[in-house]
Amino acid sequence: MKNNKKTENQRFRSGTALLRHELKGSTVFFAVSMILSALITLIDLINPRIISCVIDYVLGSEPLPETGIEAAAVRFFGGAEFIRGHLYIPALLVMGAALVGALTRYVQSMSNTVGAERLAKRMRSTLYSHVDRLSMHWYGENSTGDILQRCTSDVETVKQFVSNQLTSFVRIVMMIVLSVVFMFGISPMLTLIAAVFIPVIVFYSMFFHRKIGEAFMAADTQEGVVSGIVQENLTGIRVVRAFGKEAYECDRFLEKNAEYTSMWVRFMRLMSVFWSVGDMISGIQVMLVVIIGAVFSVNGMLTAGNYVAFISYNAMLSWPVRELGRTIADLSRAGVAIERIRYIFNAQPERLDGEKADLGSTVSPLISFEDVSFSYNDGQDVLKHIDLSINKGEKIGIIGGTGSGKTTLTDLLMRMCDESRVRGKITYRGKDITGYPLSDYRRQFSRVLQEPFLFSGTIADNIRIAADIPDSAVSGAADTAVLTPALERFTDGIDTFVGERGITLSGGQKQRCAIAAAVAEDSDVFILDDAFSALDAATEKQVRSNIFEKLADRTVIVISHRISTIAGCDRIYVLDRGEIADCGTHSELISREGIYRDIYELQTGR
Amino acid sequence: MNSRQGAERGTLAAMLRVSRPYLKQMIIMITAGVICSACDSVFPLFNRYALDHFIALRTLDTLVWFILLYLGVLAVQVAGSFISAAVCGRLEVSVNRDLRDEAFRHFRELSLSFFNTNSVGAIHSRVMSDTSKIGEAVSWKLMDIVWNGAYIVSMLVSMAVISPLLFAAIFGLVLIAVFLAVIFQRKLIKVNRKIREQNSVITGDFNQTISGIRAVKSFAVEEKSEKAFHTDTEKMRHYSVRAGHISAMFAASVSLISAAALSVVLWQGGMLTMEGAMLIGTLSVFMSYALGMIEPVQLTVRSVSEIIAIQASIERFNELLSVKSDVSDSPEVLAKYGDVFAPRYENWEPMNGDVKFEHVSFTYPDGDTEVLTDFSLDVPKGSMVAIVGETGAGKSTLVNLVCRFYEPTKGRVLIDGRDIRERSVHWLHSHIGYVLQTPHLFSGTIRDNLRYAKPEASDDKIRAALSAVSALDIVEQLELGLDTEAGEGGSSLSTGQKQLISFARAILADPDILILDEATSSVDTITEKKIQAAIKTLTDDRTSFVIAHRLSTIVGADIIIAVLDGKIAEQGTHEQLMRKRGYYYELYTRQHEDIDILDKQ
Repeated sequence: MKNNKKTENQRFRSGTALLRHELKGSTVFFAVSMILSALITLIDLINPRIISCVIDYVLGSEPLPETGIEAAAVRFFGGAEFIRGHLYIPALLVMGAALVGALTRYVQSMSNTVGAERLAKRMRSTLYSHVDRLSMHWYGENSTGDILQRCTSDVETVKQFVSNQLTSFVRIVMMIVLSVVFMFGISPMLTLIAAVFIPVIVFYSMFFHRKIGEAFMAADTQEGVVSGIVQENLTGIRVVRAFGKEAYECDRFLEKNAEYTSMWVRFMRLMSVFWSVGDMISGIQVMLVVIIGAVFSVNGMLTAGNYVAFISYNAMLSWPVRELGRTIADLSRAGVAIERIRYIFNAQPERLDGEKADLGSTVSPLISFEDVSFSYNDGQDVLKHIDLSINKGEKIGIIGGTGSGKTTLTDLLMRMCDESRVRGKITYRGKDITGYPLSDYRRQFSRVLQEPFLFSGTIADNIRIAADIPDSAVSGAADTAVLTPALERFTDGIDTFVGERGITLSGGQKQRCAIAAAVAEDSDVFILDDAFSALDAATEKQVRSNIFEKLADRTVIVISHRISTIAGCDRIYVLDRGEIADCGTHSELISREGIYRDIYELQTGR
Repeated sequence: MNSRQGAERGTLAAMLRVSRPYLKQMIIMITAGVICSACDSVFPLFNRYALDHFIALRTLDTLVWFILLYLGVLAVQVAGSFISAAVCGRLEVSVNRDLRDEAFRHFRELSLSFFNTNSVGAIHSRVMSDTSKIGEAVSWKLMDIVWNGAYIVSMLVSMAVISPLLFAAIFGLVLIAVFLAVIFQRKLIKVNRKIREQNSVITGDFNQTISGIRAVKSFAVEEKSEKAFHTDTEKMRHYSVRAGHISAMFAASVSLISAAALSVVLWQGGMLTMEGAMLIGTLSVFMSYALGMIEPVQLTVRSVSEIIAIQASIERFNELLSVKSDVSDSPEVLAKYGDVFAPRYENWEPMNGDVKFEHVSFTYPDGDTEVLTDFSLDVPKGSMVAIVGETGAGKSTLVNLVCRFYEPTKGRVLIDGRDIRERSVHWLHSHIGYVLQTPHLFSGTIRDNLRYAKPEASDDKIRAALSAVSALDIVEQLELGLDTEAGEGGSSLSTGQKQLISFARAILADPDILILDEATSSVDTITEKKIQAAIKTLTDDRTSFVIAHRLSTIVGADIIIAVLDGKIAEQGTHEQLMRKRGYYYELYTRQHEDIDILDKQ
């Protein structure tokens, strides 16, 4: 319920809007960090002042001026003469200033880190909660590797940019302003010449930042290609081996890897040009200040002391201006990353919540399809004019040719497809299925997938994936699915780790594991989508009779190619190329000509 | 401690190994870097000259030469920085590329049992991310050390020359800074390792949700998995903040040491100056050294410890490379038949297809029970061997041995009368067609996937192969026909469609031995029946091994082997086994008993 509003708000018109949304909860920390880093810039100015005071007034013979903070400070500590005798005083002052500086630095850096990590956490969490609500349809159009990259490394890039660049940006601007102010106090004319370079470097950086962004994007995409080949070769290793295609795959990889390398070299060359031309521009700026300053000085427009001071302030200017360029350049990478993340956020998620619907009423039929047609794209229909109705507690069998739309039918029922492409009406408990809150609705079904997926965790974790049930119920479900004998072969039994970070199970083991999970979920409607294909007849029979016994009052939909699997069902639908070709009980169907009887004869040899 | 030093030496050795081919580039990179920083230190001399000559003497007589020289040095410096950065970047990616190439070439060594215990994700990250860390270490990290190290050495030398006494004091502080840096870095590396681990957990979470989205939605576990994910990101935040804390403490203490160095110079140096033992100019030089010293020390220590920290990456990478295949060709075999990359086709004999098991015993590498004991079987060319039995009974074992995915622990497998080990694995696999129960299609069109078996195959040949397995109609029903995208791992096709396409793919390769491991388990019966007929003609002059649950498909096999609990229970023809009224009889009669009961009713 509470996610309701969020779902609607998660459409961002620009990268900035997205960033603003994600910065909620970390803004304060970044603000503190920025203020403190401005403070640090000021504190850092104290020690050079102490040193110049000591050199000029204490060790040197410069007369102490009448006014000014420095003179007042010297007088406060007993005058130049006294300090000369007690030199540890300025030394302690240096330490004192450093201590304050160090503390400020610590607090600044911590608040920056805390802010950055809050931002990263929020981005990851919102992305995760968004991604798992995107439709199957969307997943069909986007590649796994690409989505993954957007959710992980792009988030990292944005975090790095905000935490490293944004606060240092304050410091940079502060330093530029301070040095320009100091320089202006010495010679407005020379300051103007020195400052002319600031826009030059900034524009130069902005020009490059676009180019760098493009080159980076190209290299990054190519790395995705390389990564994809590695992934495919690892998941499809048996096929690669079976066809002896190692050399072919290797050539393909070497070629793509070499392309990636040359793209990256191009990118690095661009970066080197960017850096060294930046070096050159600021080198020329320093040179001009040195030379023109000398000319001014020779002509009596500048004293020697002021000349030295101006040059050192100018040196102070050069670093932050360069950094400013770098920040702008990094902006391009971060901008690309934000755009890539925004693409995901702007995909329309499924609305899992909604008006709490009354699922308690028992209307007959429980499920009905009225003239339902469906196509994945604008092309031909995968399902055509489907009419079917299923009552509560019925056991329904579905049989049909390869690619005849059996799985799509259950996908439609579970609202896994693009609902705007569904024509006709599907109802559950007498109400249009689109009227139910999605999450509650899907929980009405336990589906065992044709190709089961194991989550990372133990087998027990996988069985209780959809329902928090006690250990006894977990092993009960494992018994029902006849998984228990298979578990005995593992030393850790039901606590064996499987999935991404565990061992690999065989097809039959996976299927029984998924069946056990569905049994544990204990929903109203059971869907077994060719869930026994990797089981032998005897095991299948045992599993099936266990399920039917345990789920006597539940509605069960069984998809299978085996007559024996569905023969006992109350009603069997025969699908042919997206249409319902026939429907009836086993004995009805074998008593008349048709696909079902053909299959029956083929399988039993009668 | 010893093992640690050993590991560090190992890291160094590994870095030397990967960078050896780029020795020339490395020399150029370092030289250019040194020239660049040498030029950097020349610039203050220009300022001094301007001050001492132009301003002090009030003349601009050498201004033109001054400008030309300045520009010259600037040009050299810019060139140096360009060359060092460009070469460094090239070095990084080259090392990266070499390591990835090496890893990819090594894939053929990874045995299938390796994949049972190592996830694809873990192997993938070794190939992609560990390599890039190693590449970074030998380029940018090394460059950092060169730059900062040279800077530190030059400063220490000039300080020692100017005032040994102050040098000693500052050197002491530098040592403290090094000490602190080492301690903090060690802590940081530990936390960073945790951060990386947590990071891979988070990547795994995303990966699981993205690739298992169908299951996530079917079980409606979105909210549950979001909760679990929040725990993982919270952990990540926690570790990252801890790392931030350590870094911040480190930075703060380093700045204090730096200030201490300054204080010492100010206090003691000031006294020396007042005694006339030191000039004010010298003092100010010293102070700038004291200030400028600590940061490069900090940076050097950081780079060194980061290089040490890639030890973990190097270990993981080396571990992958050290995986030896359970099965490998002997040098003699390789000399005659060549390897996958350079096959010597001229020495390849054609395969006839006689398979013979001779007193074969076998135990899986990761198992402890012998699944085959003194098994002998003669399979002459053209015969069909069917293997039946309960789920998980070990039906694939014989097939694994024929394909030489594993080798017998005792006895031998003969092909055309010769030990399977006498010819190369590549030769063997080139003559075997293997169709799996869980078919794997590559992203690309259906045509691309079929051509995988035979790149030069024409569309007619492809159609013929599809029609041989009765899949042509099914493919042509698809809107784009052969041009239909299979999707990642074939995700846009149904399981049955994938099985048919992978079957056709095997047929297209025209193998001498055909292995069908539950190849049509998700295909509908009518299509399957049509395939049965096709298989008959296909396997007339081919040896075939068929693993099947649906017994109707294997009734005509020449030999049926019934497997029970990992061991061979019975073997013979259908008629023999039915007469025997043993295990096979039981399997066969029970498969239709449900229907029988119904039919009787």
